[in-house]
Amino acid sequence: MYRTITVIGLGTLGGFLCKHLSEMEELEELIIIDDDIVEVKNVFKSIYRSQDVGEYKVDAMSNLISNNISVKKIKSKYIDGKTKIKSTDLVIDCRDIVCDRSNDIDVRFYISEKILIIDCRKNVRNVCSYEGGYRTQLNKSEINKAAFFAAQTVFSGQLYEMTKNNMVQRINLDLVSSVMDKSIRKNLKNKLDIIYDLAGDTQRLQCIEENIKPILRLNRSSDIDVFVGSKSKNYKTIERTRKINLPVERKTNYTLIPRNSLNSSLDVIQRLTEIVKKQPGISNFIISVTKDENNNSYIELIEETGAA
Amino acid sequence: MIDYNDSTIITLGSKKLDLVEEHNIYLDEIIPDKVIQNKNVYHITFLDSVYFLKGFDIVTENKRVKRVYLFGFHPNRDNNGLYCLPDTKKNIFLNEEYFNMLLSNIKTYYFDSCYFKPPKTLIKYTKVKSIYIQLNQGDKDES
Repeated sequence: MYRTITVIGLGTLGGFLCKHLSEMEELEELIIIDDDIVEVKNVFKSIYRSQDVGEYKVDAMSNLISNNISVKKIKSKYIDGKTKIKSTDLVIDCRDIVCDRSNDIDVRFYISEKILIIDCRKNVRNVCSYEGGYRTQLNKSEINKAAFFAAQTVFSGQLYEMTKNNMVQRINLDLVSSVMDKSIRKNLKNKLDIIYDLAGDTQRLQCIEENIKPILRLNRSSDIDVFVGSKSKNYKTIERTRKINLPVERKTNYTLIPRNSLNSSLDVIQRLTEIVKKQPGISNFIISVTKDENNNSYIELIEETGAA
Repeated sequence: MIDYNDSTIITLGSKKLDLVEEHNIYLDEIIPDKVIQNKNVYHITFLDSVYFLKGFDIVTENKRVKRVYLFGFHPNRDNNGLYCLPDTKKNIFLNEEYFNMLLSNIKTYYFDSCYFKPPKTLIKYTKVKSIYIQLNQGDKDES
């Protein structure tokens, strides 16, 4: 339904919303607009991390979004009627300011205390403008849930109907909290940590932060040991056949990735895939980062055996 | 019943075709340590000793792997002990690389498709962060 989306304002709600929108399969392009810089106060309630402080919000946000969609960053203040942006299927306003809106913006998402408001009216004129933070009683996790809910309305077709009819909807986050919890739990349960599909151009990455970034960090500080299959003790074998002479001691297939040789997520995937492709008969596999008894991290490439 | 105390060489068909079936018996205690479920990896933290394997038998034909029998209970083997070998793992020359991969596979329970799951009292496992890589057809190793 919506393949290209513009989000104006990357504050608490806008930041989480962008992240959830970027995880939707249908989305191809996301344009993010904000002229603000991440401050320390933003870390407590919004998606940004302490290492993002001092960066432009659009830069920090694009780092948080997986690279399977096109992200265009605009580091300037959006002024209604004056700022020209590329035409997209949907323009979402998540700014924490109240200002006049013309036809360019399709929907405004905002939170007031414990209410998520989805305002799809156009040509809105306000008596006076207000600029500042939301009056919200929600914590970081609850804002994340509200953003998740908002993203669901975008891709479920609900928002399409609302924008068509210029509707305004107020959603009490307390009332839908249990439903959302259930929905999120179900979503997380079915969600893989990461899928990276090398078939054609369809690449889908999920939870990139928690999974690939530690590998990149590890490689910045040291070489990485990679084992195809389990890193395990060497087994002694008892040979019973006369024809095939297998060595008495076996070592798991091992490769070393030198320090600083992985610079991006794509590097990680490509380098490890190269290692796997040298092995006989491997189809799909799973990368797992593990620590040994001395707290040294290493990577295991586990084959999906895939048979019953 | 497989008698793995003796080496067994069975000749199939005509000797002119040189079809020789060999049993490559490997005997040692194998303790499964991983589970794959929903394309995620789990580390086994506790496993009852009833599931420790005593070894396995790689049956080859003209030195190419045909099937594998496991000596012990395993979710991915049938009642006859036949291990479910994916097609990509069949008809491949048995060498050290292959052996290591097979050993690693056997040490991994694949729960997405299995004959049974050990009861929760006999197995405990925890999820670890993982990245699932799906290779397309062109990327598969043809060897």
